[in-house]
Amino acid sequence: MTPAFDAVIDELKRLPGLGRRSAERIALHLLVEKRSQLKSLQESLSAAARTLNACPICGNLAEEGGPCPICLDPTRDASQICIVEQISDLTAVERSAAWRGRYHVLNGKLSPMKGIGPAELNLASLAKRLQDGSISEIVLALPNDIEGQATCHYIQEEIVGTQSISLSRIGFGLPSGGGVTYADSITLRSAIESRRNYS
Amino acid sequence: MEFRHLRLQNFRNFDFLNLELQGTRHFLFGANAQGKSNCLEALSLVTAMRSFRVREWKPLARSGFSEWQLRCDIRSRKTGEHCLELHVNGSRKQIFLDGDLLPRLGQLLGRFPVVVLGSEDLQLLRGSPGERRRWLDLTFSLIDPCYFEALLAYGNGLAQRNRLLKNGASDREIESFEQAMSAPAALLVKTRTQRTAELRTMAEDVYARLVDGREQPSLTYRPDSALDDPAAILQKWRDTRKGDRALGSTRAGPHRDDLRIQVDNRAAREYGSDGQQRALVMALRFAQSQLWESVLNEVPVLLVDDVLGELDPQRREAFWSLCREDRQVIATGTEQPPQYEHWQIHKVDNGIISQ
Ligand SMILES: [Zn+2]
Repeated sequence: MTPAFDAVIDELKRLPGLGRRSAERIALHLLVEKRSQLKSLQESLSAAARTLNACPICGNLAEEGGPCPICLDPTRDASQICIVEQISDLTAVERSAAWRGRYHVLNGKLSPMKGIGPAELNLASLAKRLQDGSISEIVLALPNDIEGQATCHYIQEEIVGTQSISLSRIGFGLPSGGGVTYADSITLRSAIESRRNYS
Repeated sequence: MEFRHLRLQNFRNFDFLNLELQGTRHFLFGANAQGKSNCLEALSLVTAMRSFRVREWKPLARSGFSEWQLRCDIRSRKTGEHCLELHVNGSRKQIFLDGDLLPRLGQLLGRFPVVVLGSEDLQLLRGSPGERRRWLDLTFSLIDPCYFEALLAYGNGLAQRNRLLKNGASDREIESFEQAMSAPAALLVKTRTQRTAELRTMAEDVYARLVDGREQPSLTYRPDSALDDPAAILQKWRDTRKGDRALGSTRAGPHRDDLRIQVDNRAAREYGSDGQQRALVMALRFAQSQLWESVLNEVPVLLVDDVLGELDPQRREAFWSLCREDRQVIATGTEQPPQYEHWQIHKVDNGIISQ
């Protein structure tokens, strides 16, 4: 179309889940059809970019540099941690309402082919959380593929090691190919309730 | 199953092809390099989106084009009429079944079994172990979704482990991937062992009909390390890890397995005449077909690319006795066969097919 418009399309296409056609629709919507929405989108994005941060404890979304609402919530069991790959998985588990402990978000899984090793994951802060011995249970809710399984083994051997923490994993009953994010609430709830010890 | 119709656009030497395939006997004849084999190649893709001639997809596009399409009308014995479409643009492939996009190849496997008999088949005896492994993998993936998943998972794990070995990663990280790979590895070895025994019985039977001698063919699956339990495989990887690091690749595991094909205890590639070797390969193809039929309850289509002319009259007769009337056969040759009265004949001339 025009160079400026094409530049917008190119940026939008780089977002997850957007192909050329959806990118075009969004660009036309914001720049031509609903110009007023553009301004409020711009404002809410820059406001969020200013105030949002990763929770220093668990990696979830938080605001004003502090911990996330779940880490601050005194009714959540602080001795239980559910480890997930990404924030959308945390949201899915929350929707199932089956988990009353806290979380740890890795922001990925081990994948040497993509250049993701232990240093690229949110593991150092996990090790720190385990140091004072207040954690008694860990549930691994990672994808059931090779990378997810390798990540589970790594956490078990390298991070948990010989500490006496009950370790279990869910994901065996989840549809293959889909991760935690795409599992429905009932599936997730029954997976969490029937979690089994992992060795 | 049965092909009913084939449509191609910008595939190999066809700019546009519209081919009716009603009925169970079709013969495409014409001089060499006119497009007969290209046509069979297109049909063979419906099984697993794999060409029996090339591993790269680039040569499938008509020269000068990156976009091509295939559309097949197919009748399945079990599920009725279907329309399978393939849209390719460069490296992007989309498969549509009855108008719906199939996001994963696994959803196609086992639906439309097609067996190919071609002149390249001798590679199965003479080629590398990799050729035989790929053939086994295709044969078993079609009838066993778990096998296919394990194959993908193991291949992915292997690539990850090799990358770690090359990068000089920690033992802990490598071991984590070995753990994850060990279950699919064991499943591959177990399934190959069991299924190869089934294939063997079927191949022996067919071979006896094609060659009325006393020779006995035998197929033996040779696991690289005879390991069909995850713990044993893990131990093996642990033992070989140091050497693997130096090489930057994994030396032990099901990706190194071979299928040993013998006749009367001699390696088949060194055995017998060209004709006997061809009969043996044909027996393997028919065994593949029988195995698929027994599990899928669908009679595979037989694509016969230019090999009937090479058989002597006795073997040709045995060959036809193996093709029941309800099995669709689509064959090619350079001459119109006088004895085939029930065939629908299609003349292929420079990318154009006429009846
Ligand atoms: Zn938090």
